[in-house]
Amino acid sequence: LTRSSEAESEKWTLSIAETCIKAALVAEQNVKDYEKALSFLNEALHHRPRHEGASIALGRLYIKLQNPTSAQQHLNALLEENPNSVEASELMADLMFNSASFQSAVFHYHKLLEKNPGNFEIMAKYIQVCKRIGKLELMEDLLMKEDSPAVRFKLSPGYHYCRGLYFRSVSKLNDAMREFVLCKRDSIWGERTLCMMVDIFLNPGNETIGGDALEGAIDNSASTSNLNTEAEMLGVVAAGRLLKVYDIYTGF
Amino acid sequence: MIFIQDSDYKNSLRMQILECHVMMGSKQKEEIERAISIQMEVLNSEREYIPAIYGTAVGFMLLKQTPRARNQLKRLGKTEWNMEFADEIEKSWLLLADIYIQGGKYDLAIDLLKKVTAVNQSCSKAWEYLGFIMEKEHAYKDAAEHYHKCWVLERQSNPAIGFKLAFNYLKAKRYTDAIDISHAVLHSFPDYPKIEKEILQKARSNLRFP
Repeated sequence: LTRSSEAESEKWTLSIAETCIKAALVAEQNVKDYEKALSFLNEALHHRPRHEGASIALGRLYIKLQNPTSAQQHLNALLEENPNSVEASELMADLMFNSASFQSAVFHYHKLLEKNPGNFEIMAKYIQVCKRIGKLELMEDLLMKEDSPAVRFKLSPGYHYCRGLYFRSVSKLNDAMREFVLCKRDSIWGERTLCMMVDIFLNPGNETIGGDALEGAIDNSASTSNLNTEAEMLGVVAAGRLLKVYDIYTGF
Repeated sequence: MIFIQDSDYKNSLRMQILECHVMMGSKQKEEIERAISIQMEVLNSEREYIPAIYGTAVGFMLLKQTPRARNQLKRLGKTEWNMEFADEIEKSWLLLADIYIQGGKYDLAIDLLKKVTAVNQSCSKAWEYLGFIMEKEHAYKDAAEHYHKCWVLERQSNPAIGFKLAFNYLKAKRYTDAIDISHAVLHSFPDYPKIEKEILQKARSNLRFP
């Protein structure tokens, strides 16, 4: 092969791989044919064995299909090749989170956050995992202290979302609201912020809505009728207004 | 790309369900029914969409149609826990446990609640339910332990939990603990009813006459 034809074939395989990735995306998201998506991604990797986007997409698909063994094999190979890949390590941590191996997930997320203190997508997941193992204090150093590494990014909406998440988890609702207000208009964080705010309005005490096994046992004097108290009513109205404003913004 | 991105579509679904929850929050019959029918439509196109399954179950519970709610929730019995719908799955398990407790099926409820605490140690509600069941079975010592977890998790902000914890300490003959908790409750909620008379005074008199 001459040099020019080598470059040519290089170009071709790349474009084939990229087409395959796009096809996989369509198969996965629009047609919901996951087998097809898998085979497209494998084909992309066949032409371009080291294509990072394809490998990451494949790993993500394995996780989505609840196929932890294949995902782990695949991600291990990826990390061996490129130990510093943030995306691959994040996927690894997600895999652990998804299969409820919270201790390993904490380990992976923590390592990632030490290197990328401003990555709030990872931070949000880290908070969730810490909550699940009942050790929320693990993340306080990274986010809540005055000299936390994340404070440098305090202009980022993600920073406020994560702080709100923390305050919500420790039942400091007013503080949580103060943080959420700052990020509710953001295009990336807005929607989940809204979900959190509506949840606080509708159910500040994290009650089991619709369940009343505990009722009456708590306080016999409280009325157990179906009528709303005034505070509840206000919460519902506020939640409705939030969503209405959001609809106007997005035109949805 | 011209195709609607999956994530956008999913999120708009999520917002739709959120709106349904707001409707159901009004607790008016027509609104609840409307919310249920919207969510049923979602389920027609996305058969296993967990937030919609949970939402309809809540609606049926609010309409006091417990059997229909239970049937919805049972669909989630075999779902494996995953991080995308973690909150909805947990809430569904809690609601189903609540239904079982109301029907007196404590064993089934305990299984579900253990499943919840396995994936979320910080779920104070699950600890509360477990404490409730143990109190009903007169296992006051165990009940107190579970209520204690709940009390700590909510950072001592819930006087009702404090009351129950103190009550179970009293029943378990741990009088000093009962007194400590009563003081903690009265410190933050000076007007909280009954706790002074029913727990503090009883615990004190028991301490005096062993």
